[in-house]
Amino acid sequence: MVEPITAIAAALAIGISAIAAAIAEKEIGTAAVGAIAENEDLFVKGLIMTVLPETIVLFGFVIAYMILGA
Amino acid sequence: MLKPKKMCKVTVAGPRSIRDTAVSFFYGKGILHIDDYTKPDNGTVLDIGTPTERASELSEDLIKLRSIKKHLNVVKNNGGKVVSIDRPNQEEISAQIDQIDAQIVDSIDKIRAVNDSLSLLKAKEDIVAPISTLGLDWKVFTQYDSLSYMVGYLPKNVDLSRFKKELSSITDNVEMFHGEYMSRQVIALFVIKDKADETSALFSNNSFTPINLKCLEEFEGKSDNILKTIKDEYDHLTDEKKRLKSEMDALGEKYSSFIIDNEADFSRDIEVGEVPLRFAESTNAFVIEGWVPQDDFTEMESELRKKTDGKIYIRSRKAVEGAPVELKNPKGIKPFEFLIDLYSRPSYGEIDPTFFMFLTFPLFFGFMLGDLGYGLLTFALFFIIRTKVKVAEIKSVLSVLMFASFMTAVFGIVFGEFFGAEHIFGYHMTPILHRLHHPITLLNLAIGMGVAHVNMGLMIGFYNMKKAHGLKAAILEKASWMSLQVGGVLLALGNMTLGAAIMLVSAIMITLGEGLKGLFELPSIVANILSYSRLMAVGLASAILALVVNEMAGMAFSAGGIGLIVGTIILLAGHSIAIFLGFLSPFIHSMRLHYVEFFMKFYTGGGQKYMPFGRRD
Repeated sequence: MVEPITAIAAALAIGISAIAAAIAEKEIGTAAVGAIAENEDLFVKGLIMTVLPETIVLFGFVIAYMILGA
Repeated sequence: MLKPKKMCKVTVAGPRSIRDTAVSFFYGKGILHIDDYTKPDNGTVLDIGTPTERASELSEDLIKLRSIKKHLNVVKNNGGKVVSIDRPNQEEISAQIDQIDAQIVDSIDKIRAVNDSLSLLKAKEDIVAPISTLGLDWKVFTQYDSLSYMVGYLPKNVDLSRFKKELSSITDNVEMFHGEYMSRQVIALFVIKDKADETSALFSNNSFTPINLKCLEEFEGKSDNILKTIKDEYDHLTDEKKRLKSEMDALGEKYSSFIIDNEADFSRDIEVGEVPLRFAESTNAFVIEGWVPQDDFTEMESELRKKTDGKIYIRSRKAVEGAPVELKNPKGIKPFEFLIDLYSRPSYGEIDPTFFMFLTFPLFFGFMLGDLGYGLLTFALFFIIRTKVKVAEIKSVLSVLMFASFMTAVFGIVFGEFFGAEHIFGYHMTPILHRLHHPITLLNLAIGMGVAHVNMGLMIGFYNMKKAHGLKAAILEKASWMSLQVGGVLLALGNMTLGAAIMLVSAIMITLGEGLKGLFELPSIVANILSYSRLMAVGLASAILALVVNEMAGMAFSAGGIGLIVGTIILLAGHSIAIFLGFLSPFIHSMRLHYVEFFMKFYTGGGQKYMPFGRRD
C-alpha cells in the first residue's frame, strides 16, 4: 500500500494537469467550432488543434505513475 | 503504392477547326486533368476560349428541364440510356420541353385558381355556418328604413336571460334570435333605429363580436340552403384540385425518364461545350495545357493524332511538382486514403502515407480498445451496414472501422478480454498480457510503439527531404532527430560522456538545419514519444469501463428476482455505451497520433486532387 501523501501527490499530478489541459482545450475548441461553422474544411485542422493540449495530461499521467512507483 | 501515380505535363495545340474533335476525344478518354488558363496582364494573342453556341442553348433548356423536374417531383432514375453527344433531334427535344413546360404552367395556374376559390369559399362558410343556426331567411339581412340589426357572437359566460332583461329595459321594440355554433352563442338582433346606439353599447359591454355580412349580399333564401350550396361547390373544387394534381402526377410518371435522361445528357453536353472556358484560344488556334498519367500518354498521343489526321501539336514534359495527385493503392488499402484526404492530399513527389496508415491505424486502435467480444460484434455490425450504404465515403469509413474491429479482436485475445470478462461462456481465456495486472508493461509497450512510429516518420521525412532538398538537408533536419534520441538513450543508460556528446552534436545539426526554432523545439521529441502513452491510458480506461459494467450487472444478478431483468438491462445498455465510447475515443486518439506525431515528421500535403475532364464516377 502506498503512503497517503504519495497517493495525494499522484492525484495532484494528474488532476491539476487534467484541469490545465481542459482549460487549454476549452479555448481552442471554442475557436475551432467557430472556424468550422465558417468553413467545414477546417474540421480536421480544428480537431488536431483542439486535441494538442492532451499531451499535458499525459505528462501528468506519466508523472503520477512514477510517483506511485507501481 | 508508396508513390502517387506518375504524371506528365501535356500541351496540345491545333487549329480551331479541330477543337471540338479534340475536346470530345478528351472527354471520351477521361484522363486529361486540365490546368485552367488565366489570361496574363501583358499583351498576348491568347484569350480564354469561347464556349460552343450549343452549350448556351442547352443551358436554357436545362434550366427549363430542371424547373419541370422540380414541379413534377421527378426523382427516380430509370437507369438512364446514353444518347450520343451530337443528337440530331435536339430541336425536337427542345420543342417537347417547351410543350411540357406549357402544360405544367397551365396546370399550375389552374391549381392556383382553384386554391384561391377554395379559400374564399372557406371564408364564406365561416360566416354563413354560424348564422344558419338561427334558422332565418337570408333576405332579412337587408337595408331597412326604421330597423337596424346586429349579428355576431356573445361569449359563452353571458347569461342570456339577464341579457334579455337588460335589453327590455332599453326598448320593447326588439326581436332577438339566438343559436349555438362551435360552443359559442350566436345572436341576431333587430331593433328600431332610435335605440340602435344604446343597444350596441350594451352589446359591446358584453364583449360582443360582430360578424360582417357585407360581402355576402349575393346570397338568397334559407341560410341552410346557402350553406349547402357553398359546401357542394367546395367539394366540387376539391375534386377538381385532386384531378389536376393527379394529372401532374401522370405527367411526371410519363416524362420521368425523358426528364432524367435529358438532364444527364444536357449537363454532360454543357460540360463539354463549356470546357473551352478553361483553355486558351486565339482567332485561329487553341492551346490546352494539362496533366495525363505517364503510362497513358503514348497511347493517347497516337490516338489523338489519328483522330485529327495529324493536324495537331502534342508535347509532354516530365512532371516535377505541381502535378495533380492520384493516389494509387491496392483495393484493401484504398479506404485509408479517406483518412489521408481528411488531412490533406500528399503533394506530388512525396511519399503517400496511406500504406503506413493502413499498418498502424488499426494497430493503435486495437491496442486501445482490445476486446474480443467488442471486436467481433462491431466487425459484424459494420459489415452489415457496409452492404446497405451506397455513398463511397461512408463505405471507406466503414472499411477502416472493420480493420479497426479486427485488430480489436486480435488484441482482445492478447489481453484475454471478452466483453470485459476473462472467460467466454465458461471457457477461461489465458491472457498473454493482462492489462489491469501489468499496467507498466503496457505503458512500456505503448512508448515503444511511439518510438518506432515517430522514427518511422523521421525516416520517411529523410527520404522526402533527400529527394526534395538533397542529402545534406535530410541529415541536418531528419537524421539529427534520430541521433538525438540515441544520445538520450545512452545518457539514460549511464554513458554520460558519449550520450551528452551525441546529443550536443545532434542539437547543433538541428540548429543548422532548422534554425533557432529547431533548438527551441528539442524537447518536443520527448513530448511526441510520451504522447503515445495515451495508447495505454485510453486502453486501461476502456478495459475498466467494461469491467465496471460487468460488476454492476453481477451485483444485480446476485440479488435474483427483478434483479435478473435489471442486470440484463445494465449489461446491454452498459456495453452499448462502452462500445460507443470505445470507438469514438480510440478513433480520435489514433487519428491524432497519426496527424500530429507522425505526419509532422515528414508530411507536406496540399496536393491537388487529380480530376480528369470527363471522368464519370
